[in-house]
Amino acid sequence: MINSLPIYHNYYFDENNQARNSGIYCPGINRWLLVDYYDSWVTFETAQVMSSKIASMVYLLPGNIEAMTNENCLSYSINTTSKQRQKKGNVADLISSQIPSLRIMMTQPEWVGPPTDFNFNHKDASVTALKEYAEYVRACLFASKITQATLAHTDMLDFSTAFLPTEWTDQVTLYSDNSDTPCGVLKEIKKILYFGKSLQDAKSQIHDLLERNYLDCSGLVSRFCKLMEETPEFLKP
Amino acid sequence: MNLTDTLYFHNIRGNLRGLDVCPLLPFWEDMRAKCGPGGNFYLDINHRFRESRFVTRNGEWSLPWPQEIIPGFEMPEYDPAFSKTFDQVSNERALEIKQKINDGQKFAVMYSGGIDSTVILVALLQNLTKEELESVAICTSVHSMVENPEIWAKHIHGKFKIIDSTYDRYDDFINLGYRPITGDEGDCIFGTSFALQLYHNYDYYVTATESSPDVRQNLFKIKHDISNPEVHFSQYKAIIIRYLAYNTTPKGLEFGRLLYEKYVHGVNTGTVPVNSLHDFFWWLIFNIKYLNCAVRGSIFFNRHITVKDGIDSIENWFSGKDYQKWSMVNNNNGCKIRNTLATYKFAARDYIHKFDNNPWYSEFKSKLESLGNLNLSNKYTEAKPAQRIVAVDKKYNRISIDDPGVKEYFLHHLSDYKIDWTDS
Repeated sequence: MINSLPIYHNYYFDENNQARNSGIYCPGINRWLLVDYYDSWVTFETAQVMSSKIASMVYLLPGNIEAMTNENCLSYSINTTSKQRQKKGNVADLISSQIPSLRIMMTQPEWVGPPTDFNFNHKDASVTALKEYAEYVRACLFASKITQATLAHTDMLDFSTAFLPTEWTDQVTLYSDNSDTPCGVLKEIKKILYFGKSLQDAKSQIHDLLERNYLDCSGLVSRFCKLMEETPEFLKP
Repeated sequence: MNLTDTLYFHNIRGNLRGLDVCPLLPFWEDMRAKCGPGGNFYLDINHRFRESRFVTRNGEWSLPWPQEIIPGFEMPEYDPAFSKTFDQVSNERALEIKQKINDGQKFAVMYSGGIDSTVILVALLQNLTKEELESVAICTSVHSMVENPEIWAKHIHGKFKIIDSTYDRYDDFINLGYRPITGDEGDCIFGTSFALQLYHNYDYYVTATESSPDVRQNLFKIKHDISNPEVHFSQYKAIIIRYLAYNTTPKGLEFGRLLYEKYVHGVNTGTVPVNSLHDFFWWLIFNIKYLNCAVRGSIFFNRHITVKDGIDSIENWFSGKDYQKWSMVNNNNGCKIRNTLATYKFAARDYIHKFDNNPWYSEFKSKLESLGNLNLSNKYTEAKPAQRIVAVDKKYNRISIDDPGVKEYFLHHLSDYKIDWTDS
């Protein structure tokens, strides 16, 4: 039927036909780490990158989450008294893997207060530091995706891996961009974020990478930095 | 037919690698009809837990059939004066492996990337020389790499022989000349992940419990006292019963009450102090589930060697007597857990952190069922698949549900089983 909704409609709109938001929930600290209003798939990829630091789940949220925002989500948990929670909330069942999966949230998040139980020893790995890191990862992923689609669309390593038979491509050199990296600057940024020891460490490594490859990939590097609203030293006039 | 009167292991409901396999399921209703309340209670244990492999090592825990502890897996005597730290015990355990390497043995660490197997890795890295570490292989799958990518990058990649565990069983590693080292008993030392599920859903269980407002108010008040020795586990009785119940029907709740009382009877007849809520759950796995954790690898994840040879060949890292003694005297001091599940296995996290200085792992590593990362195959053989193994007899023979007389053996004992731990 022409007017019927596609089966994936529920993944984008809630039962009131409001566009869904998305969020990263961490069972280990029983709090929401991040809420996003733009792109669930970027949220999902953010959780994948963050999996080197913490295991999490990505939930598609109802459009009308009123009280919980990205700013206060560290004080929210998933609904702690719902039947859905009882069935799905078992820590071992909820996260069966270090790598996130995607679920739809039917209930409203619940305010439980700041996660005061989870700051023990390490200033560099506090819950606040975790949140800041996740925010930075998300920003990098948005910048990276937009840069990729607008300026790095001829990434033939990526494209040929997806579409061309390997017996064709075995004969030729495949590359992503003109950088000194094996899989392209933008993918290298994600790897740095995955292995980053702290936000400072990740930023420093990314800036080094961009500076090192600025001459060979100037458009790509400039666009990425502009989208990040950052002006590293080497780009300052 | 190999079944003798006394068993070393029973498994009337298997649940291996996530497979909900119950060898006796086709006979379930018939057994229920032929059993009294005792037999039905025991069948309900399987209904609730999808397993039944509980055997006491200390205190009373009656079973429908006679069973003995496999020699070597008895609980050490409680020693309140035991003063070694977790770090000391771990380092000394590594020195035992060091000695065996110098005697010519080779080891394969079953590395899942979880906290327990990372303790093994860190202990070996800290206590063995570079030459001695050449006799250690890392047995793993790709899933283990993503549990702790930093330690993989810094300490494993390029430094160890890697054996892909994806399609192998323990005997494959043994045939390669290695003694597997497993951390399968780590949960026994620190308390069961079964408890974490209750802590994580605490509010739900309080609101789902039919209790007076005063009881509920107290339960909310003591929410973060799970490892406070001054708050006895009996104060949590209402939510424990609700949690143990297999559903909210009167029968399901009654089962929860009976099981709680059976656990309490075991605690009260044991010789080790059990006070807090976490003590209560720790005691379940340290006492009655210990044997299962200790020998399941030897029974289910081997094809070519006997159960006895498996037990003799697999090095259970946490089976060391000192780990068990440490476990008995380190309740409620923050070593096992603090107020919330995020601090589970704190002494082990701390030990790892002192070595790798990765605060993310120390702070935020979540409890996963990482044993599955190793992906060990448990098909056993086509003739006697692991999923249909229901017991091990005192000659260490694996008993299959398909062996003659086995169904009758279980039915006979279940029908005789009495609820002997409560008057109500």
